[in-house]
Amino acid sequence: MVIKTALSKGRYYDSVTLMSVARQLSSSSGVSDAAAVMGTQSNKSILKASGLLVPLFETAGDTDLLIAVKAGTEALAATALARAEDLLKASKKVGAGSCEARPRSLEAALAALPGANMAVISVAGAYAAGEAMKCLEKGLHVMLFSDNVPLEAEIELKRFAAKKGLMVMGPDCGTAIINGAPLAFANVVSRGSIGIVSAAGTGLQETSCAVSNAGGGISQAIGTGGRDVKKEVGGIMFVEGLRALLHDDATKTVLLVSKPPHESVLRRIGAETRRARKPVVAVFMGADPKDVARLGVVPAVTLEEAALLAVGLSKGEKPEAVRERLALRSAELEKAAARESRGFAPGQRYLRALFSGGTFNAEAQVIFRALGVKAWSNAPVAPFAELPDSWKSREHSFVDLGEDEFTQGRPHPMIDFSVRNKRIVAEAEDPGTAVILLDVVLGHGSNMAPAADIVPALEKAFAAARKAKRRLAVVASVTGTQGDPQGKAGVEAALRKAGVLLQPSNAAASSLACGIVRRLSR
Amino acid sequence: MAQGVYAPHSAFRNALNFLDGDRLLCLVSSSVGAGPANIVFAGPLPAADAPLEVSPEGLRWGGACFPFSGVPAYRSSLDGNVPRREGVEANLGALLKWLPANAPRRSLSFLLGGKPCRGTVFDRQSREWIGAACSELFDNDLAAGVRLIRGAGPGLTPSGDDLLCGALAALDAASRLSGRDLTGRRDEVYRNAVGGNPFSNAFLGFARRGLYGERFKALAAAILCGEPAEVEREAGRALLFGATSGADWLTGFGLAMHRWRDLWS
Repeated sequence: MVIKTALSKGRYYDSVTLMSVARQLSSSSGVSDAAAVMGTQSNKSILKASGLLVPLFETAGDTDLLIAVKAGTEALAATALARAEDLLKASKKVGAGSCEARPRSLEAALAALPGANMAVISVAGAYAAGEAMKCLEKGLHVMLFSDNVPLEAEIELKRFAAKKGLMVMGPDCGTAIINGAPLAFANVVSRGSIGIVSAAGTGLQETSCAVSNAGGGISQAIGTGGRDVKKEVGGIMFVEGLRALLHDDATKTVLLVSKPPHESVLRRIGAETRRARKPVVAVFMGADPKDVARLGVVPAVTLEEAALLAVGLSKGEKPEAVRERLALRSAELEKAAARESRGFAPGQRYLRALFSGGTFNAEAQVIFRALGVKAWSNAPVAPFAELPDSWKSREHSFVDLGEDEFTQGRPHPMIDFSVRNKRIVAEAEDPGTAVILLDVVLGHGSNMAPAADIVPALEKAFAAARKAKRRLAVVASVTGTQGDPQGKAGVEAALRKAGVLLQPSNAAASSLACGIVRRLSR
Repeated sequence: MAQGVYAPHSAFRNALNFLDGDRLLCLVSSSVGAGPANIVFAGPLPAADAPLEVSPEGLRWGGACFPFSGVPAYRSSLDGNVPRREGVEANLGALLKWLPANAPRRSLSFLLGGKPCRGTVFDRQSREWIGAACSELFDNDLAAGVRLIRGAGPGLTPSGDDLLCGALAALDAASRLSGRDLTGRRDEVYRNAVGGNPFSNAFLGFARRGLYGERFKALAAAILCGEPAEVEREAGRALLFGATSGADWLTGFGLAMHRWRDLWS
């Protein structure tokens, strides 16, 4: 066995950092023991008893940091010691682990925070419903981040909660903003008078950011999980959320976001919205706006339109005025598409959309289907067909990289870009690809350095196209605000510099991408 | 709060620490809470690269002034809490039962019967060391026991020092319960506990004088004057202080109240 050590004079870390470093070193390959402690007399005695004391440590004082590693070989010990330094440096970075202990049970958490009235649950799906029921029984609202919760359990939880006047957001609820607090994947948005109920996670993020970026603000943003608006669940929480916002004095305008709810759910929503005394905007992705208007709401086709309508209505503007502005922007996008459709090689005509947000994937397909061209997706919107292999595009393809086949054993693509980065390069190498369409989602929980992670992949993609004497257009939008930890403006600037055709929303990016491939298909 | 110019010492997510000689001052976020050396800062803590000047009027830091007028002051001692002797046994029993079941496994709560995590060889040796040191402290030679415990464990304030702070707080509580003057024993613990770590020294000094951080004061008050349910609630809050600091302090407090029962019962 070899012992490698390091002594740093006057270097302070909290105990959680040092315990974590020691634990990680101990579990390194070939390492049999490790310690990271201050050089007090007691610690030196314990190091001696552990066989980790070296003469160098005898000179250490109470304020010196001692690190010792015992490993099978010199090289393994040296590697582990170098890793210790990396781990200590990483602990100083913003967002590194908290130095506070965590309660070990729900009871302990409630004892520590007696005024709490909401629980966020993120455990394996098999256990999530049980934990959620415990919380509801204790009178807590629930945000259920976990997925893979059985449908029957979801129905039982929501029925129980509704009887008790409580909310169950989820399962598979990835985002919410409650009383100004962003939960899970959520953005730093302005507070204001627009309340959102959403059965679509990235739909909620896109609309809340668009509201905030357009000068509006969010009172509450309630997620329900995508299954809530299906026939089986009956929209229990979507309707409860809607009612809550209609009765909330701080909410002056309500915004509803979802894929098309089941007919029975639409009836329940309509029963509330028709008698609402405040304006309600609804975007039911892919539904006919005329049908949606029959619910007594202002219908929107895209997430961006819905957000801008809500902001406009909250400021006393008429919907027509908002739509006129969007029509002008559409005309600009058409011109841009004409410009950007030049210079492609023969055979280059396909759109490859690679999304980290499922709602964006659906929205892009809704926009694309107006072209009347066949397309494929791993999460198809009618009339498109399902991709036989999600890992391989064919013709025009829309891929949601947040689907299970991409996320099993890996972090979500909003956090870990590695799968999509490889796919971006692979698509660029395909002679049929003309346009790659992307989303980049900022906010809490998302990748903290999105530009630094994606730009190298984009550079490789452009290089691959150039090498094959082809042109490649990459169109993208960034969902977020300047208040987000990543800062929207900086990310956008880096993407523009990399050659991305950046648009202010997923709807605009999708329209531009579709405009380009429409011209290439002629 | 002593006047002076305090130099930046160390920065953590929820605390910026400053020293003027051996005097400690901490700018902390509200999640840490008030304490004898703490100034609670509303909002996120800024970077700590400038000295902090304390005058009778307020703080001066990095070109900004923070006047004291109108800012609520925290009282660190238990003065004003009238002990209710008949409830203390039940309250202490509640703490000794609750703590091992709820404390982090890497903490010293194994001294009260908590199940420790397996950990490294070093961790296991540490537990043996602390266990033997506590036997020395409570069963044999107080001064020798304190010297063995002090500085044991990782971090800016090692677990052993947190345990000794809890034991000193127990002596304050015992004194309030019995009316006995335990200054001699408190001084003996303190004298043998201080070393070269200005942080631990400052906290040991506060504990010797019966000065508490907000959560620990609430727990001590609950033991002296409250009910078992209140003890569990306040222990739950104190437990969340630091990684294991809260649990180690509670272990020291509970253990010393239990083993030095003759001083107060």
